Amino acid sequence: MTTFLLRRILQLVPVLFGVSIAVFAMIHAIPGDPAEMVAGIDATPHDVEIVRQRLGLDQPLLQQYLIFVGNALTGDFGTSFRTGLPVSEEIMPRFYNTMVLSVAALIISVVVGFVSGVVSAVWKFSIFDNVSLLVSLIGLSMPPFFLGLVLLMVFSVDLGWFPMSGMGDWRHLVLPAVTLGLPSGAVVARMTRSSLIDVLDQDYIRTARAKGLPEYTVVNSHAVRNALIPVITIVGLQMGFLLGGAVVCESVFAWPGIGRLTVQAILARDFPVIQASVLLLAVIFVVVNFLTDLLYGVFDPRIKVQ
Amino acid sequence: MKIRKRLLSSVVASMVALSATASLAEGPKSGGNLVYLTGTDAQTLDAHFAADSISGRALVLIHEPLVFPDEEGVAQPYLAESWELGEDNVTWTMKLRQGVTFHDGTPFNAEAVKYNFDRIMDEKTGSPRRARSLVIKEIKVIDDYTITFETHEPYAPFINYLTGYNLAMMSPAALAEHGDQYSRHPAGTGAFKLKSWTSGELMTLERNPDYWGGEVYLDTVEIKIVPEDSSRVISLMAGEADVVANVPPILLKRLQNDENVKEVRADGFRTMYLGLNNTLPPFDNRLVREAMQYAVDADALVKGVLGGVGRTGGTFFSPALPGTIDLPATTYDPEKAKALLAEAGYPDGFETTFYAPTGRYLMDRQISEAIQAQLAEVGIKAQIQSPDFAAFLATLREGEKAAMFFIGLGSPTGDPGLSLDGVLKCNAGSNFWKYCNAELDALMLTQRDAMDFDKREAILTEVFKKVREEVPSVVLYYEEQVFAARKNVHGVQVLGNEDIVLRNAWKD
Amino acid sequence: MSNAVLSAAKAKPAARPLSPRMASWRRTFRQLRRSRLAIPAGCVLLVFVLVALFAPLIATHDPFKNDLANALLTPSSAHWMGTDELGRDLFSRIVHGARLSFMAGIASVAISMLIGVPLGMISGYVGGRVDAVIMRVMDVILAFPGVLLAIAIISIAGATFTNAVVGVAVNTVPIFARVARGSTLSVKEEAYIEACRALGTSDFRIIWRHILPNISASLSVLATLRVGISILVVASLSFLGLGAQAPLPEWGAMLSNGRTYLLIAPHLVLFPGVAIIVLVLAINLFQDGLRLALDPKSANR
Repeated sequence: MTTFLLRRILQLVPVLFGVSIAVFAMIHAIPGDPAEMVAGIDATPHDVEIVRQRLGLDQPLLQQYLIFVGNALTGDFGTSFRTGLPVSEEIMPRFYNTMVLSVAALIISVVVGFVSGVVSAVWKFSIFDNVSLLVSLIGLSMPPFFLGLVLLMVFSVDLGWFPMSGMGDWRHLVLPAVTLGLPSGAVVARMTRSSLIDVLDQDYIRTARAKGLPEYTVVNSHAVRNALIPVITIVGLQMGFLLGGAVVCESVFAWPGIGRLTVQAILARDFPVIQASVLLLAVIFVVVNFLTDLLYGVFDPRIKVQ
Repeated sequence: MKIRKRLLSSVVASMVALSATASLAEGPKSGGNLVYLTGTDAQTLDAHFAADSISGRALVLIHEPLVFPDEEGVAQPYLAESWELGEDNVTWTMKLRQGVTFHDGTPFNAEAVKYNFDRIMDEKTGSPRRARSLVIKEIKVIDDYTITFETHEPYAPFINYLTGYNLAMMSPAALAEHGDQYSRHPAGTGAFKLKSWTSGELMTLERNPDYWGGEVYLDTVEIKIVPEDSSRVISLMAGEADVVANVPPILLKRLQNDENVKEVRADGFRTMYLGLNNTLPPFDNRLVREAMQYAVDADALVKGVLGGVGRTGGTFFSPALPGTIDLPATTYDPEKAKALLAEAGYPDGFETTFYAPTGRYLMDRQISEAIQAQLAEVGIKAQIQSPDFAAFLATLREGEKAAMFFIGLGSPTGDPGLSLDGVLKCNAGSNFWKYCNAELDALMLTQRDAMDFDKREAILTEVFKKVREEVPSVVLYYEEQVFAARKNVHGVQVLGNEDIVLRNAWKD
Repeated sequence: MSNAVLSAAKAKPAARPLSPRMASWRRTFRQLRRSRLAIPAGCVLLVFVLVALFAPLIATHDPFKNDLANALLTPSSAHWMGTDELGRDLFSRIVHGARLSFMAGIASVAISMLIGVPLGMISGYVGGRVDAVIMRVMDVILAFPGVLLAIAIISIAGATFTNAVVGVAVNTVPIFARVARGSTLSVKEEAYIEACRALGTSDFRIIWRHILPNISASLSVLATLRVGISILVVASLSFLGLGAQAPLPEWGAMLSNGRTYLLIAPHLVLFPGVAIIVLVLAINLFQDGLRLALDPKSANR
């Protein structure tokens, strides 16, 4: 197990290294000059040149890359082209906001998904089951931003219950978290349902029932616990999806998260911020996937054999 | 001096206007928090590194330049009390206001002014706005409150140039202490000082109790970033906000029906163009450019797409800029456009790519689509390309690809002469139309050293008339700044350069 | 535990970003098969295909014709779905948009299959260092969360509909590569492949003639699923302004434009949104039917 772990962790190193090269190569391939963006549209060529020197963009590319990697290894991502502030200061608050949104979405997805999954499984083919099926299907076939727009229309514009965008108190969080969380709640619901149905078919459940235990006890203390195992791995995965999906959701609700920051940084050609935020997201994404792999390993002995 | 006289008379005018609005109620009330919603956050509060109007808008709430434009766009004494131009036409002697301190307690004096200019002019600082400061040859501190600026050559736009947000005065002590992190610890002389700032979310300002310009009524100002246009308007109508910036035209009607809300408008300095590259066919032919002017129905754009926000005209720069004449707009005439095209050798029109940024200007995507449809009427097939703004700018600078584009140009200084230099001179930085006319260049040089206001105005008039005949590009319309405020908010001023002035603002 | 998840996990532990969703789909549709929704879904899909094919005949108006005087009209008998902010007929635009959405889904999946499947098969067949290198490159692509990689690609190549399709295709390549690799790995061990090798059949021939046909069923099931997902992702990109450009009637772009008018003309958002949902739903339901047809084993389970 330890060697398996070590090997998997070692595999992450070249991946992250590859990501750093890919990001660096891509941002330099994007047309548009960061110095022009910093200097603004009214700038003279002289101004642009001064800015280019200040930003170190007049250095050879290889040198720029080595400086970037060297500093990044010591945790220094430089200063933002746009604001002149340390990149970490730019990114961390935004990252925190994204985490708040993702965790809230995850909670919604798990609660909604799990409860409706269990109900659907226990009362298979009931009206609730069919409705939940239909809702899940639509949820999975819907562009993520469309749900956001519909929620905006109903709850912000018509009813005025929640603010339309931005961050503030908990009311700001509700619509974005629901938008982000519901589609993945659909996945969790389907997974919970099928997993629980599988478990309810097992011999030991039949035995428990045969012993005359009340159905509630059977489901609650025997079946659900075992059915949870695959659901947990799905939930781990959803975290990755939520982080990825946050880009679009943040744009709909103007949520000041890292996804929007990254897109804005790309538009402004703010290289240090792009590099740092993409790298950070990639690290998290890779680690989440890695942990999910591990969870599979822990819960499914067959993988260890392999 | 003639310029001085004009300036003084307009000071009087604006004072009257202010007292008139104040007398409507029982008089300004002190206290309260003003919530101001805007779409984009400032990037920096360091005046020497700000290169966008949004940052400029935020930083001039905290800092002040030596001179500042009024609602007419005319420079008024501010931190400088008076100025005089020497006989040599290059030395400006300026008397500074006394008893002013920066927010950190540093006294404002001639040394502080010199420190600011030295910093922006120093190549090591790396300011994106260094180039224009290079008109200054030497700065001398005469005494604590007297300073002289010597320019290399006579430079008529000098005073207007000083109004720019890049030359807002920052505390030398704070600059020395915080260096390139000054943006987080700004210390200006303005009516408000920075209390806290969370990038992209909220900037809180508080009253400067020692403000030189009299009592500041508001306790605090909260600048909240709300990117969604409709959100800002809804918040205002719900009473969650006091002032909102950049009201989208489509929501204007809704706003006008709300009796608790009022509009605050100002003619903007920004002019929107259908840019044509004068070096690429078919636009190297003046007849084609003229045909374009007749083929686009600017009136329909303003009325149909912009809901009446904005105005049309025929001058190359917004007439809101002082010193700009107001030439009439071309009347829409597709038949004439077709005739001109035929005369130019394109009886069946032509095909071209139309570069149009989106999300940059008011309703830019809808405007470009409408233009595309209008051009199709005269046989011009324009294919829209919408790269992001950085790529758009790169395409324009390359100059080889972009024959036709949609662009807006403002005036950071509010001086038409400075704008002319940057926009129409051969090979100038923002001459995106690649327009080049030696005769006009010479004429533009003469306005720069025409220190007499009337003479300068006459030259500018001649330039604008000439430009109109040449049609370097199609002038579409001039933007209008539309802000909105709750009825109980008074004394908020919006300026053509997109600045908002809150030093006289108060709430019922 | 779900068999679908197990089999995917067994094939390649790291292939999971996709499998739970797929597993979920399979489960979902197993139930659906009983309610026989796949066939009506196929009919809906057919309608969309016909609409896309005969768009110019079906559209009641020119989808590009501006009419500023009649902007933002609500649905009426003249304009079945109303008009947009420039007075264009919304119904005609949606009808024409069906073509773009099909193109987006099919083209991006085709591109990613053309690249991903050979890579995955080579990776699985050859193994060793080649496998390690190819799979690490795929890992790098997968390390970009969500649509970020597509956004970067579009930023480089320019925001056009074609580039959005290519961007989504690149995002999808690793998914095909991993499934192709996993399937190749299991087919490779079969006795008849060993036999071919012993007979001296060239590697290319083995891959092309013996492995590919064996894995094509699972690939085409995955492909159909990805068509639906790709349509959604391309629409998302257009929504962010990074896909189809004005005045193309792409549904995602139409939604993005309509957002400005959410307060005064919600129909600009509703109609294109519903169009996307119905199309993707139909594709997904149909995909399940296809899966059952192509993979009878799973139907019997």
